[in-house]
Amino acid sequence: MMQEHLSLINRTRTILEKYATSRDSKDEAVMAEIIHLLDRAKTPTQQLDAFLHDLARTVRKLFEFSEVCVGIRDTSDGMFRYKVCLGYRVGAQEARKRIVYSPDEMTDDMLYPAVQIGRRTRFYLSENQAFKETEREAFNRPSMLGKERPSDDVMVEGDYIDFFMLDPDREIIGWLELSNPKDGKWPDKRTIRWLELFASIAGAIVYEREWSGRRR
Amino acid sequence: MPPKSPKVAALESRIRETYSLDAKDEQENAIEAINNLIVFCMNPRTRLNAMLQETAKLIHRFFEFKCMAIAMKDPEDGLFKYVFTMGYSPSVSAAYKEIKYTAMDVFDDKSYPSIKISKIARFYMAEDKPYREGEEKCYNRPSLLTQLKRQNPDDLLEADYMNFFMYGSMGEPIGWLECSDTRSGKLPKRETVRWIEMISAIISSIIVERGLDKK
Repeated sequence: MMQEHLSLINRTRTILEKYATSRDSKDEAVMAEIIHLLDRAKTPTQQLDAFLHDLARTVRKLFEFSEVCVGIRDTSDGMFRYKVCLGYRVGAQEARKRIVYSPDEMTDDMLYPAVQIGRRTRFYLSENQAFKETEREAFNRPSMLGKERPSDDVMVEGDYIDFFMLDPDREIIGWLELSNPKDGKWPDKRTIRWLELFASIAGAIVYEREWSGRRR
Repeated sequence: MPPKSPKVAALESRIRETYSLDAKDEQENAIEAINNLIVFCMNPRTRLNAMLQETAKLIHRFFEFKCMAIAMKDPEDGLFKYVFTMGYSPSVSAAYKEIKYTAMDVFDDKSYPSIKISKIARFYMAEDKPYREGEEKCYNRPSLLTQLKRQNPDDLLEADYMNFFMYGSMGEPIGWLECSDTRSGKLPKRETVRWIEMISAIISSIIVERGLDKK
């Protein structure tokens, strides 16, 4: 009887020990990456630029978008600029780094028409030409802009999704921009919700380091 | 702006439908609640105790645990003290508030034997008696501590509990979330452990970024 009970307790221990090692769902993999990202962000040596790069790399690895950008609002002039561009050809990357958005432009629906798909998320469609003529060079394949969409659920050149980072007053202080998924399809809803969480976490870090007066 | 073509209007409508905020599953609801928690916690007017209280409420609402306690390191004397409890009787909550631990006590495997279930989480099994003499009063039903026997390997007993540790910028512990007593009476699912682990990591990160671990 005693032996039987000991064996049962050992089975409980085995179940618990497996918690540390196995990871099989996509959600669990995302959560693990968020934990690692925050762990690295906490170290005193990781400055904001390094954190933004880390964020872009983590998102790119997890969600399989070929193009990932991160931009933030500059504390010196209040304008928005790209800080990280992954997956772009050199010319497009340089063109992006030259772009400066005013706070009004960030939410200008005439200039950048978008479909609101979350409290902090906008989906920009190629058909709506959500870019200025001068911004054509900021795309990897400018010649593909305006080409017909082969089917509704396919993402084409000129489609992109922005996830905004907000301050405590819900003002935009940065954004995460994704385009060109590796499978060519619209991301699923769960991916969008996870990416909103990444933007939210990044917003908290950007706010603390840039806007709260406690700059590192 | 020229009027939208019917094709584009239909495409936009399909996008709205695909990503609709109306039909959310439990996980999506949890993600949204965490987003709201982040906004609340990053507000400079939000105090540490309010942050911890909202964190506990979120875990209680979305996950399986009925009882929670949160301990933080007091920067004044370096001791860990419980600052928040939920789901316990008033006398148990009062008993929690009396306890003080040094960092050595917290990770003392002799007094508190545990199983490491992730980088930041430990499970304390009832059979290992993970409490010191006098701490029995920190349980809602102390008389059951030694009486209850695990009937199935996935049962959760009165004295079983889990700690999710929060760490500072130098990797030093700054506090922990303690969870016990699941609604089902069973061990929490592994995915639940990951959710709480992630929430602990987010909260500790905001605490560190805001410098609240030093105040």
